[in-house]
Amino acid sequence: MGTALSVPAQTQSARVRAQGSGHTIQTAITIISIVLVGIALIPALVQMFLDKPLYYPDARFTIQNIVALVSDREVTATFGATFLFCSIVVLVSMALGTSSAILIGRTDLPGRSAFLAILLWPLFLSPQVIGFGAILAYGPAGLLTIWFSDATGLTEPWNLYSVPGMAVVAGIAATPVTTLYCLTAAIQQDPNQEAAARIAGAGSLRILFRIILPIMRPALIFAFIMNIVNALETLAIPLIIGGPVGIKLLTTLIYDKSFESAGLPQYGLVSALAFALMAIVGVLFFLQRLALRQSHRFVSVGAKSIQPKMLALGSWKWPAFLLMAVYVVFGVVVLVGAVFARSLTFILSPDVSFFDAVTLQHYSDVLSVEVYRRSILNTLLLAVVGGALGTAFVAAVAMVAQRSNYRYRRVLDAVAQLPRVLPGLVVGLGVFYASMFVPGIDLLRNTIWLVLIAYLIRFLSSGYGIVSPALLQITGDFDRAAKSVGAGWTTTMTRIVLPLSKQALLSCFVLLMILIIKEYSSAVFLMAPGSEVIGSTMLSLWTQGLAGPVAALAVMQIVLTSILTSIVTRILGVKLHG
Amino acid sequence: MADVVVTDLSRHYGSFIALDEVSFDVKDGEFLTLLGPSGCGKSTTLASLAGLDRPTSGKISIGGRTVFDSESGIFIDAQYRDLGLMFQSYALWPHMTVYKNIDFALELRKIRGAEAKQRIHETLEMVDMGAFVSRYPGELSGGQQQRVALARTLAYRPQILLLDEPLSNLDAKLRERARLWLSDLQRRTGVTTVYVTHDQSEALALSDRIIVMERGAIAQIGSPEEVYERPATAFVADFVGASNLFEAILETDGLGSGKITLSSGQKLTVEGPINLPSGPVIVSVRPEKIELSAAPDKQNVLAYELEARSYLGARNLAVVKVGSQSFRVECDTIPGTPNGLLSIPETEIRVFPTAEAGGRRSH
Repeated sequence: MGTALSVPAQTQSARVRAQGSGHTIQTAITIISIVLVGIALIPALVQMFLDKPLYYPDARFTIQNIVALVSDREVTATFGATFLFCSIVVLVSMALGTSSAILIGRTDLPGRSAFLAILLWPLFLSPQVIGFGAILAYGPAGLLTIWFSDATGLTEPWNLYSVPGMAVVAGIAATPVTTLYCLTAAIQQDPNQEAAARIAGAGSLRILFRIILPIMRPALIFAFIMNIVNALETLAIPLIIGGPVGIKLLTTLIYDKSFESAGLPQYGLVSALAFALMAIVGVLFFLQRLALRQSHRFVSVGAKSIQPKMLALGSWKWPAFLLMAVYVVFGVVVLVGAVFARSLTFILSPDVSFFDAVTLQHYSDVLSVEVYRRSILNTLLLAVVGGALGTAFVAAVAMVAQRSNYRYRRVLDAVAQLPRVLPGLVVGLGVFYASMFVPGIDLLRNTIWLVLIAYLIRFLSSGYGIVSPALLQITGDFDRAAKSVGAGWTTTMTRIVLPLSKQALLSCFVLLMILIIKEYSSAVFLMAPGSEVIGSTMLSLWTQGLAGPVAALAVMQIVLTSILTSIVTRILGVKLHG
Repeated sequence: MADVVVTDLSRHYGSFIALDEVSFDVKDGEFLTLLGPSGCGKSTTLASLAGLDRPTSGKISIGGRTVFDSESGIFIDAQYRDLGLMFQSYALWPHMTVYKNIDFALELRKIRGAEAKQRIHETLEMVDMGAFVSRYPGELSGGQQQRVALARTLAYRPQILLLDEPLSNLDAKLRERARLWLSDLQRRTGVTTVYVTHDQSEALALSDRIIVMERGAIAQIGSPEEVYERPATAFVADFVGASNLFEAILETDGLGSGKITLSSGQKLTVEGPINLPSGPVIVSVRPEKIELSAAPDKQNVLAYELEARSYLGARNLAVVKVGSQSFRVECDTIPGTPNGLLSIPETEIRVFPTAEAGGRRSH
């Protein structure tokens, strides 16, 4: 009897211990997350109420920075341009993205899969590269601009260096993401819902507008808000296209104010601007939640017993094909092609034969000049280390937030989603401040590890957005089964849940690598000799007018992304879209 | 209301033949069921009728109008066929209320205003869903969605009603009720109905006629009684009602009747006329036709050994062994003894040629 009792007592205490160790880890993960996000937010928050940079001993409290948001001429002048810019970006991206998604996912458009493959290229390109491509192809001296005016006789057929000009480019850069959001929704629709409408007597157009589009509404709302957020916080394209002609948006103003050559950088105003940006983004996300909560649970049950054909375009087939081809060629292929061509030539102009101008000089520069080479290696290092560390961190956060009964798991869930509303510039600024005051972090100043911290904060939500839904799809019965055989939380997570979520974690790793290679805006405040990344080097070369090496670096960025993603996708068999 | 004539309908997917020259007709107001296992071609047939899939060859006419004819190249799209199709997944449009789901087809037919309203309410009352007009599909249970889906196909009074396994997403109890209700509704509306299912009890309970399909071809067409009592092939015997199927050797006496020899060497007499030559055959016996605890002087008496028993509620199922041959037997009571005598009435034994189930019925 005595032994019979002591055995369960032992397992009982072992189980309590296991739970206890789980609790410690859960608390640690939560604290680390709060500290990281706090790093990005608190110094900037304090700075907002100070009249001089935070590190000045005589800095005093002021609300002048906030007042300046509505009174400063220079600030208020950006509002109109920013609004126009965002409207056009969203319009272009939504129109192109939604129609591509429906044409590819739902209709019998010829060459659908080829279109999709090309259309998604820009996902792997940083907006900077797209901006460079746009200038090389459609700028005043761009190849296509000149060809077009020669062919039509129109001088200056369009003006890239304008708010609409750069907005269209930013919209094209944002289109693939919109396509992806909508494509999933388009493909996942029960094809029988369309067939049912057809049986009821509806034609293709009516099915499109009455059935397909409305059912996609949640995805459309989501894509719409994400597009506004993206347009609001985009820095690279307004900076390289709008910068030289003095067009200022909210983001470029923040950038300019931080790097003002004359006098003190206006960090207080910068913080206030950054928080204004954040507040707008925050409100938008709130609206999105509100809008999506009202949408009814879109259910479809059971197996698809009849697999109907894709929606027939009929006589619209070839016009639609033509439109898609125009978009893909002029919106994707030309932009990328211009960058490639420029990287291989001294000059890119209709007056000079491509073969006369061909050179490998830019590549040899990029690989031999110390600064260039270092920025490539730094980017590679950050991508691999940051991707791995970030994935591990995201996994830990997701498991506490989604699969534990930790007391503050809802708080952690909110913290993990918070960086989504933090524009890259704000994160960079926060980490920059932290590096001046927080003991420990200051040791990392001027190294790429500081950049790494900024990236981890910046992309926490992106990774979490992949891993957390995947975890939700794994039934909790697995955990309960593990618990029933005596496993504690930590054991259950590492032995059961982690292996089951392998696919999602690998996708997260790939996504983080791609994002890090492309990232630029959160790194601009943290650059120092020795800690350059490709994005920052490209920008400084561009301002020096060295378009050749910029193009070569851009190609290296593309190549780096392709190699890293194909290694992971081929070898580990990760599906990228899904 | 209309009748349907299908002539030599084939559907090929590359080298795979999903439908092989299938011909049948559906009479005006008839309830016809296409029954078969998955992959037998029943859903392909339904999709061809609906106009959702273009067959490779053949001809379909509905209500006297040719909707598909491979020779003259006619193919009327689903949109213009004026049919009602109810999907296994219901395919209710999630962004529309119950009312709007039904109204959509009426709108396309320019039925508006008071008449539309009246029709929608009428149809919803018919399926007992009148109280749910303003709900969204996501707010309904599976059984309620099924009713709305049916109302949606009935409201615009289609020429024929096509039902694709409409009950398979319901739980067993609900399915039984829905079956009665569906059958009642069909008789009341009198709409010509083509029903696809793999569930033989649904087919037997609902249909005026059943078409049993196997591997893209029709195995038998007949009333539920015919299909059950006089299966045309071993496949039909097995698929409808799960017969005991076994091999045996047939000896005919030249006068039409004969004897079969089981693998254990025991002989059974079979009532004639038998149109098969002597030799190996497949024998089918319904489980409920075998009688346990038989008197020794009955026909075709065999000694058995009780192997297993299971209680089904209203009936009992016994598995008994005769030599090396197992039989499933359904009966009211199972004798308590492990051994006994069973009898198989000679009228209940069907013999089929061994060359796979495609051969003609012999008995």
